[in-house]
Parts: sequence; structure tokens; C-alpha cells
Amino acid sequence: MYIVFGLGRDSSKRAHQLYRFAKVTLGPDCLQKAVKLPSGEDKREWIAVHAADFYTQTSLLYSTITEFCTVRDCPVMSAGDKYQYRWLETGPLGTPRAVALSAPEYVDNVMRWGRRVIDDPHLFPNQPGAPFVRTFLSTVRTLFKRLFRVYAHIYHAHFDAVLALSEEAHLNTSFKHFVLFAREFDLLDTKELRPVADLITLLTGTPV
Amino acid sequence: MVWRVDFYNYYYDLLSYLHQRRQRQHHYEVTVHATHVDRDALTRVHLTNETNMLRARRSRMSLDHFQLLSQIGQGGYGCVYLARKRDTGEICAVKKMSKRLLHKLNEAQHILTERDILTAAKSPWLVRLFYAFQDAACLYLAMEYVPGGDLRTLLNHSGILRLKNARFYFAEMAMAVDALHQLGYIHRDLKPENFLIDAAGHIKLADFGLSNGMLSQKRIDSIRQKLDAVRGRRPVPRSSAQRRQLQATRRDNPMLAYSTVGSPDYMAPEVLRYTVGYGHLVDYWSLGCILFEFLAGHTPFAGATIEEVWANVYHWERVLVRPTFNSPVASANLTDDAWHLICRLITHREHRLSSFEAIRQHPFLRGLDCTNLRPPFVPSLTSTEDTGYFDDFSDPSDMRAYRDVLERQAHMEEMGRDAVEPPRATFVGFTFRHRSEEQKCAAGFGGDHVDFGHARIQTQETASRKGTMVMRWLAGEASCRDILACEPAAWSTAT
Repeated sequence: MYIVFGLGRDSSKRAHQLYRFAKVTLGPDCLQKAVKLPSGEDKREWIAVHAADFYTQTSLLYSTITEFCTVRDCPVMSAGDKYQYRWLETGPLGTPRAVALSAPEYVDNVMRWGRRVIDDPHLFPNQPGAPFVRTFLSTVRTLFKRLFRVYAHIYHAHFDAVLALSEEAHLNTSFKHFVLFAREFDLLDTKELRPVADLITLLTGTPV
Repeated sequence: MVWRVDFYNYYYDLLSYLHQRRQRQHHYEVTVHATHVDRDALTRVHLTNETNMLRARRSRMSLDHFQLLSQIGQGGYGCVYLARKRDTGEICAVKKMSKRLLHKLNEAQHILTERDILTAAKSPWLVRLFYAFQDAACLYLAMEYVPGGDLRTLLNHSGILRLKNARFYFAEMAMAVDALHQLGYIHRDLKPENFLIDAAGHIKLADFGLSNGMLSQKRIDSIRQKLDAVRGRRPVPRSSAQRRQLQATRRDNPMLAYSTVGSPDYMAPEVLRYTVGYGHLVDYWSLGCILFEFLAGHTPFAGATIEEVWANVYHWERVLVRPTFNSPVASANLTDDAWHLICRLITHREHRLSSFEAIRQHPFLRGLDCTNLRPPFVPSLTSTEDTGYFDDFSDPSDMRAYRDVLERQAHMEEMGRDAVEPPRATFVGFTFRHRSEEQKCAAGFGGDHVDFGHARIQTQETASRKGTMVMRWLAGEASCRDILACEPAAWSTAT
């Protein structure tokens, strides 16, 4: 029946080839190696492309559980009972103020803000030769902090849904990759990691 | 869940990028080692290239990346353009749709389905998707450009098809529909417009917007209303000649023309009656109607008004009769075998042919080598961007036929203006980029013939199998396993 699509007996063979390819390419600890800065590359360039990728991954992962993450079920953006997050916005007098938001509102703000930042050619230069601005790294650190909170919220509030959707392996992979990358380039404060410290230790094999 | 496919593909792409980058690095080192002059310049060029590639990876696709060559189609939600991608030179058909409008009409899910089918489809029978991207206002699907026009245009030009040609197109349509069914989708709205003719003369199925089996509530309501309106109505008795005349009038007179969008000409009655709980057989009914049209020169339930068509489909048992012809040649063209097949397709679900195999073995297709079909018509094209087989949107006489569609479009735009902005998350996961041929070749692994292009996940079936492999090497370490109380489904099938 599947001959049209070339899905005959040989597809497991192909899968095996892929597996072998992956092993040869990156070895057993592939993600740890995959985050390393390639020889001669500008660190900011490497960080920029990953920031955009992690943005896409979190927004995809979160989109699969939006029906469970509602204003009613998650009235406060949090990662467990001990950690609540507030959104920093500019007040009427131009002074920043922290506002408490529900989880869906907070995540929506993160995603809108993140999209704007990544699409801004001033912050994320996209033309050949255009330079990075001095504030690039601090902006990226803010982005990583906010994306991290989205992961932390999913783990604490919606892991049941993730299991029900059989998505746990995807979430774990994405999160592990994210943490390894952030660690490699020091993009997250250690205190930020606390709500999921045990998980990170398990996933990466290194204590926080 | 198709986003998983994107997830696996992301890691495939990352892997192959790293591998290729290492190869380029190696190549650079060998070159530098061999030369004695101007090593610095060589290094600069190498690093600048790498940086530019990283920027290209990060760049978001936008309509600016395409040069629009001409308009080739006009639908309810927007236009279709023939376009050339500026950097790669790829010629494609870009379909542009308004986000607000899609959201307002509850069609967001349908368009995501279409995108999912298009990305999953690597079948020669289904139109391929090259890119899917979005900006604040619109969604864009950049698809393979199929230059030979659609079957509707072909039928308009040829009237009745000769038996030999009807056999060819019918067989190819059936195979295309079967390819869609194999992916797990039902089309539900098949009509000649959906079948395109490629440069070699073969058929490709396009437009999968309704295929996920979920009609929007608005559409269900409108179908119910129409059915209620025709329930008491008796079908008007008409001769074949009359129906042929009606169809020709409908085609040629823009004032009387009604768009086949939303017309039930090819729709199985179970779609009309039960809005849930029907299967892939609804597509076979539509194929029967199209085969009827090939040989009769009109659709089986043609009427003077769209209401009459609704009533005719509702009372199909009384309306469906073997067409009659003035010319003996046309009459002989509709053989008993052909009529028998039509009657096995336009019939109650229980009696309808229920598999592609059953259709293939029907006497009508006997002797036809389905693996080696010769197209009766090969479009004569002057270049890859020849749009001669599509209507010319700058020619007023061609445009008359679109009057209705354009009015609809204007009306829709009006609706779109006061529609609310859809929630941000509505179209998450829409974006897609195919791998270029060049990347495919470059990803080949040494002399080992691992072709990443083909190893990419092709259908839902392989998605789970390949996904298992990806997850095994990405996350399948003991530490990861330990944190999960249960054995994840993704690993339990792993060998």
C-alpha cells in the first residue's frame, strides 16, 4: 500500500543509517558538542541563530498546550509554588514596573516581545557585514531568561498534558539543548535555574 | 501531530549543518596548508562565508524574497501569483491569504491542515510545498508551480473527452486521490479545478484546505440551511442537452456564472446529510461525477441555479440518468463499462467501490498499465514561467469570468477590515522551508551514501519511526529516562 511513498521494507534500514550517521557525526553526547562555538566563528553570530531557534521551539511547544494554560487554570505566571514571575513593563512615567500576569498573558507578552526583538535588524543584524550593537548580549540574556520561564512553567504546571500528548521526549530534548547552550555562553543566571534545578541535573548530568 | 515532524527536521538540519561546516573547515585547512601566499585573505573569505550562511539561516522569509511575475489565480481568501525566489531562482506559485479573514471565517485550522499535508507530501501526485511563511497580516504558501493549467480549463476547451483520454485522466486522478488517502486525509471537495496538469502532462492534486475532516460550524450551518430550503423541492426534469446547455451558459455568461466554490456539483450526499462520520468514499463519489462530466459534457446534477443543483444532489437517485447525445460518435464514446463504473461511484455508500484497487480492476480501466501512463496532452511551454494555460489577469475578457470571484473577494476584504486581529498563537507552526537540492547533495555523508534529503521524514508513518530514532540519540540517555515515571511511548517501539 505504501509503495507510492517509498516506505517499503528499506525504511528501517534508512533509519539505521541515520542513527549511524548521527553517532559518527556527534558521538553519544551530541547536544553537548552541538552547542560549541565552531572554530573562528563570532560568538554573537552563533548566539543569534540559536536565540531565534529556541524562540521557535518554545513557541511551538507552548502552542501544543495552550488549551490547558488558561487565565482560569493558571491565574499567576509561576514555576511551582515557590516561584512567581512578573512582567516588567514601562509605566506611564517611563519608569519600569513589574506587573503580575496570568501565565497565558505572560507567555503571550514573551512571544510578542521576542518576535519584535528577533525581527529588529538593529538588534539582530541580518544584512551581510552589519555589526552587532553593544546591547546585543544583554538583550539576549533577557530573552533567554524569559524563554527559560516558559519552559519552567510548562514543566511545573503542564507536564501531565505533555505526557498525555507523548511530548515529554521532545520537551526534554529541547530544554536540555537550551540549557546546555545557555551554560556554554553564560546566558542564564544560576539563581534563575532553581525552580527546575533537579531536572537540569538529571538531564545534563551536571549539578546546577 | 505534524509539528513533531518539524521538530525532528530541525535536529536533522542542525546535524547536517554541523557536519557540513566541519567538512568546509577541513577543506579550508587543507587549502591554507597548501598555499604560501595570502593566507589571511583566505581565512577572511572562509569566515565571512560562514557568517553569511548563519545569517541566512536566521533570516525570516518574507514576500520581499520573491519577485512576483504575474497573477495566476483568484480565490476567496486572496490571490495566487507566479513568482521567482530572488536568491535561488526557484519558480513557484505563491498563495497569499489574509490572517484576519481566515480567523474570522474559522478557516485557520483548514489552512494549517493544508500546510501540514503539503509538507508531509512527497508524492508525485500531490503539489509540493517549498516554503510557508507569514508576516503580520498574511500567510503565504509557496508551492510547486504546475504550468499546464487545471482540468476545468481543459474541459472548457475540449467539451467531451475522448474515451482514451478520459481513461487516462480518470486513472491519474484516482491515483492522486489514493495518494492523499494514504497520508490519512480525505479531500471532501474534489472538483476538476483541483487537478492540475504538470509540464509532462501528468495530473497533480492541489488545494487540500478542507481535508482534515473538520467542517467549520459556519459551513455546517450554511449546508443545513440549504438542505432545508431544497427538501420540499422536486428536481426539475431536464434532458442531457438542456443540462449541457445550462452548464455552457453558466461557464460563458459571467452574469449567470456562479462560482463552483461552495457548489455541491461534485459533493456526495452523505456530506450534505451528515456533517460528521463519513469516510474516504466521499472522494470516490466526486471522482464519479468528474468522470461523468468527462464523457457527458455536463455535470450529472447540473441545474439553472445553485438551489437546483442542491435539490438534484439531494434527489440524486431520480436525477442520475445515462446521458443522451445527438452525435453517434459521442454516444459510442460513453461505453457500457464507463457507465457501469460511474454507477458504481455515484451510488449509495454501501454499494460504492471502496478502494483504489477495486477501481483499478474495474473493466473500464482494464488493460491500462497504471505504472506507465502516457499523457494525451503535453502543455507546450516556452519557459518555466509560462502562464499560457492560466487565465490572464490583465486581460478584461478573461477577467469577466472572475467577476463573481472578485466581487466575493471585495466582500471578503470588507469583512476582513472589521475583523478582529487573531490571537498571536493562531498560526504558530506555519512556517516551513524545504531543503534545496544543493543541501541534499552536500549532506551526503562521505562515500557512505546517506542521503539526508530522502531520509527526511516523509509521512506521518515514517515520522513516528524516524522520530524514534532521533529521540533515541538526542534524548535517549539513561538520565533522561530516569526522570520519567513511565516508559515514554516514543521509546517503547524502539528496537
